[in-house]
Amino acid sequence: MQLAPHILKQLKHLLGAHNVQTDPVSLALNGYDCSQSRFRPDAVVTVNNPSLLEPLVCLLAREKIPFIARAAATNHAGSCSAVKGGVVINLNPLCQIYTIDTAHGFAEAAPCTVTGDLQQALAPLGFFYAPDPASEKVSTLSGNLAQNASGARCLKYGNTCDNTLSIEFITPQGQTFTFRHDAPGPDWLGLTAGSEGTLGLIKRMRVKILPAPKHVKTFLATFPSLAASVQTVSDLVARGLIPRCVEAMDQITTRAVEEFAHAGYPTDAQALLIIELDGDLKQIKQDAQTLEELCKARGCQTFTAAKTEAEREKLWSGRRAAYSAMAALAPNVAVGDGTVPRSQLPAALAKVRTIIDQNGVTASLLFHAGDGNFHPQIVFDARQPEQTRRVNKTLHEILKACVDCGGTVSGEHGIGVEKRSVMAYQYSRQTLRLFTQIKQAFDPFNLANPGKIIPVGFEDKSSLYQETDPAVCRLAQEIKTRFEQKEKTAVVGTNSQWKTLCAQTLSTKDLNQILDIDKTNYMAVAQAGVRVKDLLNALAQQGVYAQLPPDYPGTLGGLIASKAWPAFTAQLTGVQAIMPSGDIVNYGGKLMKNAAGYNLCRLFAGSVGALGMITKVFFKIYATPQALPKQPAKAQLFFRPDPLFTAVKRTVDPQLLFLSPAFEEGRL
Amino acid sequence: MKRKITLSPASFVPGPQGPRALVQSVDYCTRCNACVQSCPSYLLQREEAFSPRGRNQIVRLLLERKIKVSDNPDLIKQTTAACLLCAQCTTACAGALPMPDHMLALRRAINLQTLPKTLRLFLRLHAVWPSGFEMLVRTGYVFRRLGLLWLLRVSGLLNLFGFAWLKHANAILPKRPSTLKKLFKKQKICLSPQEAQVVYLPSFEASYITPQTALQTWRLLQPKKTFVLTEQSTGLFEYLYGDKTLALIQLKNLLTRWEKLSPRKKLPLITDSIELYGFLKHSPVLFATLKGWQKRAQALAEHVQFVSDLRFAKPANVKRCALDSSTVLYPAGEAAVRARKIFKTHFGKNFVECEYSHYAIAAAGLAFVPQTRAEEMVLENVKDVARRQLQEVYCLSGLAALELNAALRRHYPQAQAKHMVFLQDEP
Repeated sequence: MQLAPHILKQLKHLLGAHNVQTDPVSLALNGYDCSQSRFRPDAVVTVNNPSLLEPLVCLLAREKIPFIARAAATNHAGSCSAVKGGVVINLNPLCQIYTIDTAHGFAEAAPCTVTGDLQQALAPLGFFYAPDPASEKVSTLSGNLAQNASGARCLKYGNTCDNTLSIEFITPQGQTFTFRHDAPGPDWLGLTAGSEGTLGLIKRMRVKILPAPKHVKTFLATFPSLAASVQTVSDLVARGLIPRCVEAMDQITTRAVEEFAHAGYPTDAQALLIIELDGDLKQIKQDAQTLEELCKARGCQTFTAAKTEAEREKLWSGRRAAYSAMAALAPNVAVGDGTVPRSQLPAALAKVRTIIDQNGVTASLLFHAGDGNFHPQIVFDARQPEQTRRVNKTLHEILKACVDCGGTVSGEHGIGVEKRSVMAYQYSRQTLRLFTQIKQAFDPFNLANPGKIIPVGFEDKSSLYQETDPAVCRLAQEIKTRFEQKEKTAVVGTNSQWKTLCAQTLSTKDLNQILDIDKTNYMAVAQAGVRVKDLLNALAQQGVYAQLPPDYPGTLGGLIASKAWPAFTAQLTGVQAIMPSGDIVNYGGKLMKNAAGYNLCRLFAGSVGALGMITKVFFKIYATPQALPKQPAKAQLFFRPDPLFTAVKRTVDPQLLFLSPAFEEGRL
Repeated sequence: MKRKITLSPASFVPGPQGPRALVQSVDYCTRCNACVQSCPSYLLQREEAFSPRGRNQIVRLLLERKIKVSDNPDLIKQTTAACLLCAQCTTACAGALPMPDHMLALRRAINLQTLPKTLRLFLRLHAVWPSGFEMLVRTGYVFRRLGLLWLLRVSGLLNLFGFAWLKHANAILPKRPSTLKKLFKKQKICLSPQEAQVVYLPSFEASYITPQTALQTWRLLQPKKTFVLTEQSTGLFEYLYGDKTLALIQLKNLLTRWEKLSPRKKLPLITDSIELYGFLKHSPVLFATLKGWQKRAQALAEHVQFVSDLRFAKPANVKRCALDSSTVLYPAGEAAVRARKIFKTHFGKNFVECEYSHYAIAAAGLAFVPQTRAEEMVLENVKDVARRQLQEVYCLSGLAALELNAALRRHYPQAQAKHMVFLQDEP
């Protein structure tokens, strides 16, 4: 659809005539990314000045024209293709690094600053930016955040969202907000991370920078089985030894890579691990010894350390050449991105190999063993429809296998248009409904990157979630009854700091079980009504630790919902909640990475019970005591909700049945 | 642009496992965009159309008939002209796609001539009558010394007769340019093909602008008996500037001459031009449809060597330096790796490795791009040299050294650019 002449005139007036293109060549060149999807937009505009972003978005919102923010367009999911036409906003000229503050450990940059450029600017100062997606030399900071692409170092340093301190964000209506993790209310920064530009545009970013480790040492270990290699990683974590990164390959991939890159990998082993340690030399020596012991205990066949920088480079050259080895074989490479709990990795990989063999496709299998994220790379020729169909089927089957293993369909590549259909397999109808509501609250006219993430017609394709826990079922039923009778409710914990005026309260006191302390994946699952003190005691008995305040008197649910300990939000990997309508929604699990859908953990954290009742949470645990923030835990209950919180509240709970201190007893 | 496009899908371009049809080669782009940050022209413009991926997609979409040149002839012309053919994208590409070759095919298809007509005629003269060309060049140098060129420039007559390019040529020329023939005559170096052990093929710039490069290479080759192939056109410029047929004729002439030098035993052919080295290494691809010539070109490709294959003594003065391995069409590959090794050995910590962001810009390719843009690109190089506080930049290409040196003289005189052969101290 062509844009109306008066709109084009306004766009040209705002951005300059040469920055607005509507010719078929420009449209075709801005209609693709690294995926198979190709959709032509109606116009392409280039923004050279960040201050023009607000007026541009306001103009597009006024005229109800969809828009798609485009950075380096390196994603593998079709996240920046114009499915419903509209205007592609080329943000690439906004690539300036504004500030690097080593004293306070942050850097400020324009959204399309190339991640590699930032790394290069930080290196001479002795600092580095932790996220390192494989495409860091070309991908951008905002693109990485929009997909929550974190790379191999995420095991030790956290994902891109955790390494972003604040962002300036423009909503689809053209309003600018500054998001921080520790601000009262839901963690909007966390919610927008991985939202693939469907909730708005990033205008400016402040990211965390860390002092570069003085020494880095790389090791290569080979194993007789995949299970042994994965178990070694769990053993490492259990010893409190978190490597800088752990990369792995199966035998078929190792052989393909070795043939292409001659990196010196042994090709007779079933699995291969590249482990990298960083820190000071003494520590590395100690850790290397432990690492060797652990590897040998799991039957490792060879264990070699890179002695020189050249040897280290050679070890990595093979891993880096894995994509090239595949790209040289056929015109197209489809890259999958499933993530499963670490303990499920051997089972999931066996399933994936079976699927690949059954469908008769050629694929390599790489995985970040530390976080359970694996990337099957399937080569094919897109000019042959039958082959393309077979590859798509294989990818879908692989993603479904991931979900069956308790995983997610995307760890860091996002959903875009290509994985939308499997979202209906991973998430229940209730959860997908909540995703839709979030999108609607942020973007009522569906203008920001429409047609992404949420599957089309999910009401028919997805299944309804059935809860088995009687206490949760009882609570859900009670909330549903109150919803039908339009009765107001206030969610409280066992030791609520909020004295509500509401006659009817719902307490999480029955949800007081610690469901799992998993020392393979280093994850714990607990119900919301568990007291933090009890939880810490139970963890201590098992010899594990969590980043929880030791003296907090309330419940786990209360701690999260009131954002009393903002640092704990980053520890959450999954959540279950009951919505004001009585629907039970589930998100995440024992997963280190999850880029499928909106991050509901970040939505409910700090929502002070206004959006739903948290019933269960998944969080990270550690083998060693963790450094805790110095500030005492303090509930953030009474604050003026920002327009976004109000909008989400209105969409999720239109009758304002869930009362909360942030909404002054339900009055908006 | 009313002309109908004749982009031949069957024309051959180099592939990882041998020549590949153009239509196949463009399809091998997975659109991963790994190439984008390596493209100097994209870094100035930051638009998809000016990225290697975008250019490749233009060729692909044209072949698939999804777009037409007439949809936006200006954009296609601009983006095609902005490609330096520096092949940095090929180095960055996972599938090592020959994107400069795709661009050359598109240039020929849309009949894009970015070189001024007079310069093209000048280069054509070199191809058909080398001794006449040399005479013209020497006359030009005499004119320059007498100040006639300055007079023409100031009076504006250069622009009038289509010789505006001489302004830039004048700016990059050294103070006292000369020709190889003249210098060798002065040095009393006898050029005889008899009992030659090695053949030296000087670059265009070493033949007609900076013969010191040729002399230095000749010294490096001693004590081997060296025969210098003077007045030999190679087809490189014709290939780059559009007339492929003429380029092939010249290449055939070179092949025949080299074979005749020693019919029984093939002699190694050494060149000081990285562009020429790459071109000859990949010459079999140009003869993809002529099997006999392809075999002969293959033999030449096996015997061609670059100056980085020679032995260099450690220089007396070690300064902070870097290596510019920019070239056109084909990544310098092993030749550049060997050169880097030499520098690492001789300069140690004073050798600055250029990783990720680099300042490699193909000087030969700069002739294709509009002057303002070319200047911006070279300026980026100068900034990089200043940022790294380099004192010397060694180039594998004599043209790159000339271009960069001219810019350094103007903006950062603390550093100078030289050809790699000058790593060895001159006697």
